[in-house]
Amino acid sequence: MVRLGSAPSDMRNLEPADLFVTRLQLLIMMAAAYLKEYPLGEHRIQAVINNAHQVAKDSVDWNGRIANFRSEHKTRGEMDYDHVFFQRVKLLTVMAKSFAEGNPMGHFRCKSLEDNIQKISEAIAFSSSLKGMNFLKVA
Amino acid sequence: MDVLAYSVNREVLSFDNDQAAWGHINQPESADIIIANAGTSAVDGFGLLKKVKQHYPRKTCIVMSDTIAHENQARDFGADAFLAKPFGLQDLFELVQRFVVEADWKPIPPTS
Repeated sequence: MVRLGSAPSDMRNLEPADLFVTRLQLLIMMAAAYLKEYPLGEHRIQAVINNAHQVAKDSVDWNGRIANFRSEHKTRGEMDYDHVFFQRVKLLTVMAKSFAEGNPMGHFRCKSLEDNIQKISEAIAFSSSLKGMNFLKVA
Repeated sequence: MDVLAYSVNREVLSFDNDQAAWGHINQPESADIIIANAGTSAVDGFGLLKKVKQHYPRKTCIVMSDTIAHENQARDFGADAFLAKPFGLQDLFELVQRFVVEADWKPIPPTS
């Protein structure tokens, strides 16, 4: 039996913050794959739209779980977030929905998307490398 | 679900209870990979796992849980993988790599 996930001593239930970070990481990967012109396909498109919608919803104020986040600058573990971070995340959700819906991107929008995922990735200490994920190249 | 749907570009179904899940599994052309949550009141993940392995041994069964004791139970019931909570994006990608890509995934024909 294959074992994945947390070490036995670290096991606990998933918290909203875990889900938000995982969804955000997935959105970053989705954007990175789009920029590399990996194929989308019907189910991938819906997954991008669903994920962007959920991240947008959760990033308004992290669903109220962080008080006054707009006026505070905090560090939480490996994440470094503030008002600008959440604005970037919201922008990413808009960009993701846009490319998933087939809207034209063009050079400057792609550059803007690339810059945005780089800034967000730095803030959450995440690598958007698609190395080893050849299954994303198959529709 | 979005991670899995995006990774494999296929429909991913979810069920709120194990009876509904079993109803789907018993249909022709049902899911070949099942991920069950252990330890919730609505879903008897181990009951479902036991039935699936008994009737459809070639289907892949993955159990997820936040409880250490469930890992041994999952192994005893024949689970193919155990996903310990909290898990991350890379763990889910690893599942896809092992059980879809490397398994040379093909649809499993219905048993007579």
